[in-house]
Amino acid sequence: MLLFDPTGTGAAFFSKDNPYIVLLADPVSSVWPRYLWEFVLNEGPKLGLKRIALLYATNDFTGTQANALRTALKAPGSPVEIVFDEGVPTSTSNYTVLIDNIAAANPDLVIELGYTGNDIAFLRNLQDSGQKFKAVFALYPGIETNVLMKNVDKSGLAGIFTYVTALGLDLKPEAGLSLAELREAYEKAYGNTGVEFGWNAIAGHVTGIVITEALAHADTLAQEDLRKAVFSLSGKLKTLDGTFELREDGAQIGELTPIGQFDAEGNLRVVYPPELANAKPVIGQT
Amino acid sequence: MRRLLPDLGLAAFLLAALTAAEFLYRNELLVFNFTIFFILAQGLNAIYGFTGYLPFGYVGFFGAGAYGFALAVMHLGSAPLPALGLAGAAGLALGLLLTPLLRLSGAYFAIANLAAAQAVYQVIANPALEPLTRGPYGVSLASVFAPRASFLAALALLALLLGVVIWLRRGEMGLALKAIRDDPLSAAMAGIPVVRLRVLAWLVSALAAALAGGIYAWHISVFYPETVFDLSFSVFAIVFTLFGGAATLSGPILGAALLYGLYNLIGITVPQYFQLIYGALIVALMLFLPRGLLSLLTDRGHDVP
Amino acid sequence: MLLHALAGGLVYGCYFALLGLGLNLVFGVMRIVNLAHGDLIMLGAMAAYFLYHLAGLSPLWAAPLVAGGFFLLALPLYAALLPRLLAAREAEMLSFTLFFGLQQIIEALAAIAFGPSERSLPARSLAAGPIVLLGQSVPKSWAFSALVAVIAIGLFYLSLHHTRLGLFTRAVMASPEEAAASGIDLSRISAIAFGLGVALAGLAGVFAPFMLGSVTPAMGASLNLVAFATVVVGSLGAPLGTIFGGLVYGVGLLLMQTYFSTWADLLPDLLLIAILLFRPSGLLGRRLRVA
Repeated sequence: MLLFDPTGTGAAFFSKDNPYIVLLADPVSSVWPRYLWEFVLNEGPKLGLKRIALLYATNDFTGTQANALRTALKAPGSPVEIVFDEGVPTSTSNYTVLIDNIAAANPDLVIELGYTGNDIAFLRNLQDSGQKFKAVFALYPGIETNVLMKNVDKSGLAGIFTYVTALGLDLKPEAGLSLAELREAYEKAYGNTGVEFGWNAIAGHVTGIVITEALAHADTLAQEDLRKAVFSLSGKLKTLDGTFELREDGAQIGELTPIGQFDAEGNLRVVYPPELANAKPVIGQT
Repeated sequence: MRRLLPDLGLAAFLLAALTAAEFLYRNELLVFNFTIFFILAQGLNAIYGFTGYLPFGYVGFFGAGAYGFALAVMHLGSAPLPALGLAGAAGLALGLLLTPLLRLSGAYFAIANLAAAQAVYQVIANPALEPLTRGPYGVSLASVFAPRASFLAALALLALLLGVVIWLRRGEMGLALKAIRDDPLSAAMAGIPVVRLRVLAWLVSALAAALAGGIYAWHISVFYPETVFDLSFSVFAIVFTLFGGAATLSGPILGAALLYGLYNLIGITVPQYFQLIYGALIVALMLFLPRGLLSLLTDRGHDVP
Repeated sequence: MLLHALAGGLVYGCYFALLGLGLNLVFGVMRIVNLAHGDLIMLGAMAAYFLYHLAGLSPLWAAPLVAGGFFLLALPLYAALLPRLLAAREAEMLSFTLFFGLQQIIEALAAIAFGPSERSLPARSLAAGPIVLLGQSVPKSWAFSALVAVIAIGLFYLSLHHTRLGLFTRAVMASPEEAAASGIDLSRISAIAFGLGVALAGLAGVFAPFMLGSVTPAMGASLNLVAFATVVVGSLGAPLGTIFGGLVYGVGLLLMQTYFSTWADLLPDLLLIAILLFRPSGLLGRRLRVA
């Protein structure tokens, strides 16, 4: 039995001696937020972002990212300082008092990591609370952009920093559909089910491609053979979600999650790293 | 003894069928899950069928057992069987802690029990307890992973529990419990130790769920807090038991076999449709057959196991 | 920070009083725990969503429409389910389980019809931006929702204490047997109370997209626990105690978020267990039945 994990279970499940699982998206721990802390450490001081507030939902996905960020931002010689650091239950839907408490710590950059419902509530409460921060990062606007846009509106997303996923990168795949083709196919198949097109839809599509390719390259359907076949694709298979690249423990590390910022029209532009950027970060509007 | 034959026959048939399925059928996880739900339905039967208390938070014991097992393996380096001892102890401790809830009647008990299960989950999943429970990040017990051995443990637990339920049904203790369920005041006046017997049934039920949780943790070996505190465990155990008929041996078995079978046919791909079906089943049962499918037979004077 | 938690909590709490009010009314009159209450709130939210997005109707107009519509829909539901149940021997437990089944049906149908994605109404459909209350800035849409809640609760209070129907309802709550003996039509009072309870759930639902950020078909079950907590804190069976319960919950939650943020979701559970065990009559109210 070989388990294909489309979007990244806990990082703890991947180890070199666990041959039962293959991850098709980046593991949450260190790979997702890597560009985020690089951005904060390298660009933050230049942009006047030195005091950082960290607010996260206490589940595996966002909690692990918060832990990795905290470690990186507190490393010796770090030019920034964490002035607020709190976890909240994932069921949280009221952020007003938390936003007020964050404001009392007087941060330059607020990093909020939650699930879709958390990010919607946080961004809406932020908009309606009257509090302003120099810069705000939220997790899901770049992952489920449609859902966030519908619930928070472009006025609520303007100026927000987020991860840019395959949804905003529009990479040219060698295997599988392009972003536009996939979006069209998705709308045709699921348009009326109430599930918005987002990065999770891409992850599902790419999972199908990886499994198809793995089956084509496998000698038998036994676990070890399948695993060997999947590893033979590593570094070669280019999909909509980037170059498929497996670490020794079975986790994928080829996916790109650069940092982006929404402009006033609701377009997401990449602002970091410089080699991928197509816009400059704008500070002081949220 | 002759009265026991149908009960024993049914128990033996169920255990034999599960064993055969485990060794002959390729999808071992499915057979294991069936076994777990047979245990949970019977465990719930022990408290609901014989005392009338409906524990909505039954999953709390299951989750406590799973974490009892995980803590023993992670921190004490226990082998699986002693770790199951800790799983059972965790369930018993939680059961004892919650005995004051038995003071509450009907719906209050059900809701307070649900709140208690949620509270246990929220404490275990809190990141402040990460050094102990790994908090929300889940545990990995790959070092003790043993699907066959853990299946056999589940089978043994089911056998034991079926024995307990048969004893409850046919023995004096069961009669006393039913007397309490139907009229606690008269039972107390007749000299039946109401509180002690209720607590005993409660602890038996808690222990069964906790051991099932421990075995489940052993079998799946990697899980999150929300995996083992998923309210579906409570809901399924309740629905399976109500559907077949509580206070019988065969009712929960029938319910679990039919409905969990149906769940595996449609519930995994389209869970909302399965939810719709069992929701409608509950409403129909409460209106027309409040004591379950088997009451069609028992009401006509048939003695079903 | 403390001041903000208190002021914000009072505004937030008014809404949670409305959230629990219908549940408590139905319990007070019929001794039935409506486990589908949270899912009816969800349906109210969905109704407001579609009224706004398809018909351009502001939530303030949607509120009376939804409440009235829910009242009318509740009457046939009452006729279909409850007379049969209330006549049964273990009516309380049967109805509890039945409403649990109903909850599952509603949740499943909503998931099939609406899909799992989050939905909400833009704040500007009610009022955008902040407002200063008690020296603290809170979202204007919250103040509006709280105001509607206060008005609804006030109207409810007036009708309960200053109309004939209210008098009969209070008589049934105090003792159904004596009320029936004095010629009050129990089933009519029960039907109206059930309809009102459902209408109040729908009304609370209209404002849920503002107070809870967004709504999904699966939100009902967790709302039930919160609603039940506000109800028992006040007093089961005494609808006006729910206002107190709502405020305790609102202020309590915001204080927890301020001082023990990761533990905040324990609040309704611990409130429920503590009150049921140590003060089963609620913080202000009469005793409930124990086994």
